[in-house]
Amino acid sequence: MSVVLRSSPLRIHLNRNTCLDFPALEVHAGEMLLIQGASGAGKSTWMHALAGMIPLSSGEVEIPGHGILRAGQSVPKAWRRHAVSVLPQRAFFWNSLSLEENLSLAAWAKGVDEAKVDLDRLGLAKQAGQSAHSLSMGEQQRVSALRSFISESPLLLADEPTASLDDANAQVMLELLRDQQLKHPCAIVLASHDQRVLPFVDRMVQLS
Amino acid sequence: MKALRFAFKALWSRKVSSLFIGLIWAMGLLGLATTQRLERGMEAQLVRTLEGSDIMLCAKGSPTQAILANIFHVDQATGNIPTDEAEKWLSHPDILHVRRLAYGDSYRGSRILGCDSATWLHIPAFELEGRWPEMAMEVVVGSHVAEKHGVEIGDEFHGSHGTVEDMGDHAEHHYHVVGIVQSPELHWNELVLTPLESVWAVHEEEARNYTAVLARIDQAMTRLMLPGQIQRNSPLMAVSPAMEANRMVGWMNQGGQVIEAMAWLLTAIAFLSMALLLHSHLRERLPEYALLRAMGGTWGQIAALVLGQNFVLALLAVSLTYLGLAMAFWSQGAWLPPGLLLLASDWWNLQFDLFWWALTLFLALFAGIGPWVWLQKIPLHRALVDH
Repeated sequence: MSVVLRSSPLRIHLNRNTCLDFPALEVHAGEMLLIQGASGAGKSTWMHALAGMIPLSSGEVEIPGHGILRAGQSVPKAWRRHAVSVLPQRAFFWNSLSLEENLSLAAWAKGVDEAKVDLDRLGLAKQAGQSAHSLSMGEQQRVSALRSFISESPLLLADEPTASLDDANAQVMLELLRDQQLKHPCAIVLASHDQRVLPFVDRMVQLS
Repeated sequence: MKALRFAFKALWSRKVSSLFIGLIWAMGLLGLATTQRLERGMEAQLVRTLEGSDIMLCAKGSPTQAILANIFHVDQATGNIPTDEAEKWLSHPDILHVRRLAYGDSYRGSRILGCDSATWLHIPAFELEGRWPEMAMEVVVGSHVAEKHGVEIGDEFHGSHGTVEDMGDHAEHHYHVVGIVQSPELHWNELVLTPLESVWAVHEEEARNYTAVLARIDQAMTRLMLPGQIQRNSPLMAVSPAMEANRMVGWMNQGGQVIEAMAWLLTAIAFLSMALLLHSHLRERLPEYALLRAMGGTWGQIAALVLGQNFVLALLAVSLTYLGLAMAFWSQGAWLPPGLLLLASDWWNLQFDLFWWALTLFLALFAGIGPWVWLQKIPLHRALVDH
């Protein structure tokens, strides 16, 4: 399978006293990679660095066809819009907007056609006009995942996607990610310390 | 358009505070727009009303009162003047287009104005139904008086002494309605016009007097010199209506300045409230904005969302302002004397509103720039992780 992400060893200064180092990484299309580590090990920081949300102190990240993210340089244009999708640990929704409008807002930010947003896929079409906050935690997380699929980016970075879910909802969530990969062969990088994700991942990187 | 829709929804979630700011802002704008309209409209109205009245002869008293009574017909006259004394000065070769007035009575609160034909022919753009009076005790009624009291041509009525109804009737003298007149200069529609002889006939015990005489002066030098000359050499008061009107406009402008200062204060309060409301909204919804950036939203899109909220507030304020202006225009009869009522063409001349439209837009954008810059400085990963 083709390489979707190629990263050299990365160094990140969070502040004057805190510096984190991350190993080189290569992820392929259709692959689901788990970054495992204890809380505070820097899993989220690594994910955010790959997404271009934290400046690199050294190293570079390449997503072929979408440019190279280099230390000291600005994030390549449309990196976050087309190359990477982020599924955050918490599903942040605008409480002033309905579920459908939240997805529409995401599509607008991603610069893609709204027609790609399909709540039917989650069986939530009837709740489209409701506030996202009227949904259960599991449903919110699934809609959040659906939102991250909107642009069909080659790389999906999911930060603790099952952390706040019970077993049944965690299972549904992970199946949703796997289904998305079957539908669109992207690479998925999961940051998690949840053992329930292990049956779904192809490979694991342990962060100390 | 999408950004505006999302911005509107974001405002809708805090509609009470948004409406409050919109109202304060609209009150400020209404103050600015109204004083601007009053200054402009009243000046235009004064110029129209004073057209052809370079000098006014009347009894000594307050010149302002004399102007209000004899030109705008809204105050008590300063007294009467003997006709022979007035006529002596009216024979001056530079005095033209003389209009003689004699007050006395009223009909159900509307003033009966004794005058000569030069006066009623001086009414701007009049429409006359019926005919002008040809003899004493015939009257032409202003259209608003006719409408208010259901007066028709052929009707008869008697007047009350003075300008209020309880000062005694002249029941033995009947006025006969021969016409109804309407003019775009609304104060004429509030009067009952009759020949001077009617007033003299009703007050038969008194000597023949005028209340005032209005005239045009042909030569600029005479216009300057004659009022002083009359003042010095006769018991009459000679007033230059234009000069008195300028003084009145000066007083009104002073009042307008106070209103304008309050309007600026309200606008400043609205501006600060808008900036604070937006800033507290951004603090509250910081992770949502950060996620929008994380999803690839550009700073332009974020700006459209953030500034769009202020733009919607500005639209609300402008809409409320025009609603207030419409209400002020429709109700002007309740707070302005008929002689100073403003024409729709003066009130709705929108080209003068460009200033405060631009001001509103500028304030909306300026109040949004600070919070928007603040939002740019927040590290994305911290905003997502810390909340």
